[in-house]
Amino acid sequence: MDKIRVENLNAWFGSMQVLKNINVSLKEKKISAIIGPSGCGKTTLLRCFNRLHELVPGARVEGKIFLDNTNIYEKEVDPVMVRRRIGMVFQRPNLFNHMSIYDNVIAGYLLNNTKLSKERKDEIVERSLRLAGIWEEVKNRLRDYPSALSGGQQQRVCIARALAVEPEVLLMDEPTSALDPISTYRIEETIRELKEEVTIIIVTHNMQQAARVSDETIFMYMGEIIEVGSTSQIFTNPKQKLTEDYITGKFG
Amino acid sequence: MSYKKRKIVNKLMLTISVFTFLIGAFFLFWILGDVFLKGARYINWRMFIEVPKPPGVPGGGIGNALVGTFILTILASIIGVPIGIMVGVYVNEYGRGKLAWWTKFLTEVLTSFPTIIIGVFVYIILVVPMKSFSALAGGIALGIIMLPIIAKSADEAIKMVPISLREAAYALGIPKWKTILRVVIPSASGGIITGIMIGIARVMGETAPLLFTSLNNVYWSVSLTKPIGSLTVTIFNYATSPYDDWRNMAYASAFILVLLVLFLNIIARLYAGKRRK
Ligand SMILES: Nc1ncnc2c1ncn2[C@@H]1O[C@H](COP(=O)(O)OP(=O)(O)O)[C@@H](O)[C@H]1O
Ligand SMILES: [Mg+2]
Repeated sequence: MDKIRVENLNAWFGSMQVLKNINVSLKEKKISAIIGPSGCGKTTLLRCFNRLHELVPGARVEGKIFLDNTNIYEKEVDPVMVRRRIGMVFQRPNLFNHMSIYDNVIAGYLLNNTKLSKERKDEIVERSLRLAGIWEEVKNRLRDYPSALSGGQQQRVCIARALAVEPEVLLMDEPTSALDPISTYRIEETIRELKEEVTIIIVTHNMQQAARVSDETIFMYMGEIIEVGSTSQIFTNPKQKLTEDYITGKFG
Repeated sequence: MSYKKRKIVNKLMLTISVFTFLIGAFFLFWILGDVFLKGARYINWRMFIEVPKPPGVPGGGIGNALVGTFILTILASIIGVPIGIMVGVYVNEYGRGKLAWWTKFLTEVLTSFPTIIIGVFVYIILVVPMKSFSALAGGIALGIIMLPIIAKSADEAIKMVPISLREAAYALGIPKWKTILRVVIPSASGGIITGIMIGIARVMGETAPLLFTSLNNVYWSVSLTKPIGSLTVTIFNYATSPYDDWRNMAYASAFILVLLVLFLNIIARLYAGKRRK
């Protein structure tokens, strides 16, 4: 089953086109990795999925992205509603420093003034932090502020915050690029476990990471998708010369 | 330039800057010292709870003026703080292009606008039609003076809030206005609060605009539609009077005002310093 289908997507920063005629489908409850050299448009593509790209001054998108058969770029679609269904974890942890760890996890509800009972809040906080693999580490300091946590811990709370609102799709933009190996390992474990819950699209320029965690791999180069396939196929038997050169490290 | 020459120029510049600092500090401490020496000894607790007495009559105080300054400052804040914050939000979050540029420019102009003209303006649009000087008119004049100070500090503080925080909220499906209200403004609150304290300290020391708006009142008054006393106008009246006991009272009042303003400024600095860490 396809969860997301991209049709003829183009994106610009000002007059510079950074995505060129993207066409790709992403399977439900699978992990898809987007790989490619720095600057090839991975982040931009990811930010088109939750309509964040268009918020950058001068940025523009054309084309269609279907989420369960509705085009999220249709005029009558509210981007805020799209973002409630598609969560995102950014390259660097970006917790709200003026809110406690507990409040950060349920920020999706709190900031929207959604009323929840105390029990329900506790339940969501625990469930999300467990899913993100950080419950044991923070359960006794939920009232602390996020600045008391390490970068790796903050990033996992960011994952919990994204999961708390029960998104159907989770976008992750190089979630471990700023982290140490142990935190990276933990987050990769978390990602593999989350597959049962959500459709995951992860950007990484670390090929080992793509190979370790993903089911499907998308290789991008200079704003275009060069090859899409199962991760094992892409890494053992790439069809395109460019893909092979990239995964064998001829350029990066 | 040779090393030796550079060292000499360095020394010279250092000497000049230390010297100019000393000139500035000298006048500041002279004024503070003068106000302290002449004012402190006339301060007594009855001053704070009594209204002015005619010259020659012992006792008398500035209780009404303290209350007046308090009311005027509250009124000014009610106008200046929310509008100032909204201007800061507007130029950062919504304003693109010409209108935002003009808003910023006019804020700058208003900051350095002669406050006496703001007083005359409020006199014409409010005091004349109401046929009376009033606390309300004074509060509005001070509010207009306070507005650009708050706007500028809000603008600067909001600019410091990283885009990544806004995007974190957007990505959770939070609408823009809620993001501004619940993420951007709270994250900028340190700078905004500092600006509010500096703005309050600033309007507490204003005299000229009050002469056209709230005027003065030597009796207890909390009415918004009647003239109201204030520390600054009281100091002005006492200091320019020919009576020694009134002039002493002016020094005592000046001392209290300076302490209040100094206190607010120091709190603002400490607060800003703490937030930066
Ligand atoms: N805010 C921006 N303004 C202008 N150009 C940008 C901006 N962000 C990224 N770009 C450019 O768009 C291209 C694609 O960037 P990005 O999607 O971030 O690549 P990747 O994530 O693959 O490294 C790059 O050439 C980059 O320089
Ligand atoms: Mg990127």
